[in-house]
Amino acid sequence: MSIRKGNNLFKNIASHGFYNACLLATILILSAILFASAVIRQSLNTGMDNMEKRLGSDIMLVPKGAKENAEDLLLEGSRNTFYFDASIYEKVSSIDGIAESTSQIFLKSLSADCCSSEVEIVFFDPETDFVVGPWIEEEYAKTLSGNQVIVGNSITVENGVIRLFGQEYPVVAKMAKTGTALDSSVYFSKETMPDVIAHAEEKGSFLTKEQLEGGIISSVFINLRSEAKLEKVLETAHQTIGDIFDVVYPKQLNTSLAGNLSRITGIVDIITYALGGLLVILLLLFHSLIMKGRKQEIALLRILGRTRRKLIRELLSELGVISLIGTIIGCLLSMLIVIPFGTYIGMQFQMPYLGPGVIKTLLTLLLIVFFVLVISLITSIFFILHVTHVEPYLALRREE
Amino acid sequence: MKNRISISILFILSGLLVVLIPTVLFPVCSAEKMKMACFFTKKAEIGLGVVIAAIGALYFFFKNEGVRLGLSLTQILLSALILLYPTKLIGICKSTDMACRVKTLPALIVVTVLLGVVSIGNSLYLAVFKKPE
Repeated sequence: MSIRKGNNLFKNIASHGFYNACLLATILILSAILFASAVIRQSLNTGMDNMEKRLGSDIMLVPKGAKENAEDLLLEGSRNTFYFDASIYEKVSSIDGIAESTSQIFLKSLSADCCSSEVEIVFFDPETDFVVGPWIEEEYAKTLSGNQVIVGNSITVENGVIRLFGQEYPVVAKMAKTGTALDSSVYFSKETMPDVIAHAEEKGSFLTKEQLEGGIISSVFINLRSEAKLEKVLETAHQTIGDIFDVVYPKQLNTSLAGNLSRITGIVDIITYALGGLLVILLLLFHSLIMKGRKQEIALLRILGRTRRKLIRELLSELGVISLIGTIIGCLLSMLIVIPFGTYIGMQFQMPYLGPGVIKTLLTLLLIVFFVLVISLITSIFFILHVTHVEPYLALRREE
Repeated sequence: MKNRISISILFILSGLLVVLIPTVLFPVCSAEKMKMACFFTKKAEIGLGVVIAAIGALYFFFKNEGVRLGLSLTQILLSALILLYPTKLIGICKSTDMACRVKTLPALIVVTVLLGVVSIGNSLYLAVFKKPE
């Protein structure tokens, strides 16, 4: 497009300022809603996929009375401190029908260290682990030695170390981003627990009697053999260690979470469709008003020798420019809200939430630009064809 | 006149938002038990917000395009400072689920971008179309 034609195009748009501004605002809002809805949907789905991977055991044994806390831990990642005797793990893991089992100990870091690093500390057994492992193995396949740690994706690592309770721990691997509280966890090998507890005590952190005494575990994750019966395994467990545990079924939690997700995305869809529909009606209204207002001008241009094809091209170019500007501004404004506020949105939904990366965001933007251009074209083409096909004489006479 | 009124209002609003975000709209973490980095960032943002709003008020009183261009350019730098306090110069809590990180910082990002865009756009407008002597 030459500069002169471009100038004429913008002059034409400016000459119908009010209606074009309304059109621009409608397209802007429509694009912003579509973009926000697409990003929120994508983020919830990615978070849910990660959650499915995370709930990687058939059952989880926790101390009696800690079931609710353990479910919160799995769903929201909130680390709660609940313990039972470490010897339970040995007894449980030898029960017939269990394919694999591993134990974890949770220790929430205390407020004294919150500013340098507020983290959730987990002690796990790298040899038997199958719950945390899949996330770690993406970047690191070896076992931990000494006081080495593996950190979640959101943990700030400076010079390859993390400071906790006044000590520096070398970070050997950073986990992939999960969109859950795993991102703010630090994973120690079980062997390092006495050292960490000692350092925490030295720093004056509040520790419970159980934490100080040691010999504790918070949970036992169990995967059953395919032929094993759950009831039978639990019955044996009760006979072996007594009625001192509650059972959490991570996969059932996953199903209920998937139900929540579909309800949330359903609501997001309904809002998007309702507002989208309303805005499309508004677009139809504005196109009809704009074309009605320009009927006389178009008739005059046709009398002056402008061909129908050229007029249609000009009108579509104006519409294209308005739609493009409106869509890009709308998407950028929407991006400005949904991306920085991603964590907050996820917290409000109480669902795992992982925002899309740069490439995915740009692809969504391009897709919405294309989609809105198509909607603009569809809602305007009838009015454009109609106004360019009216006989100039009739168009001018009606305006008298 | 239109430029003076509209831009002045936008600047004053931005300044007020910078003051209100960490204090009222999306307050930073409570400092009852201990004062964390976000507490000091809040203090700095309050001061910065007042300066931004004051420049906005001054913008209204100056008819000279050159002065207004200068004020507009200052706002570009101040908008960068809004974000530099919580991210580089002072900081906020490092935990990913703290109020300052989840709400205050995103809101400050929004104001930074909006003030930055308005200031850059206005500076270009004044420099290109108004051409101050």
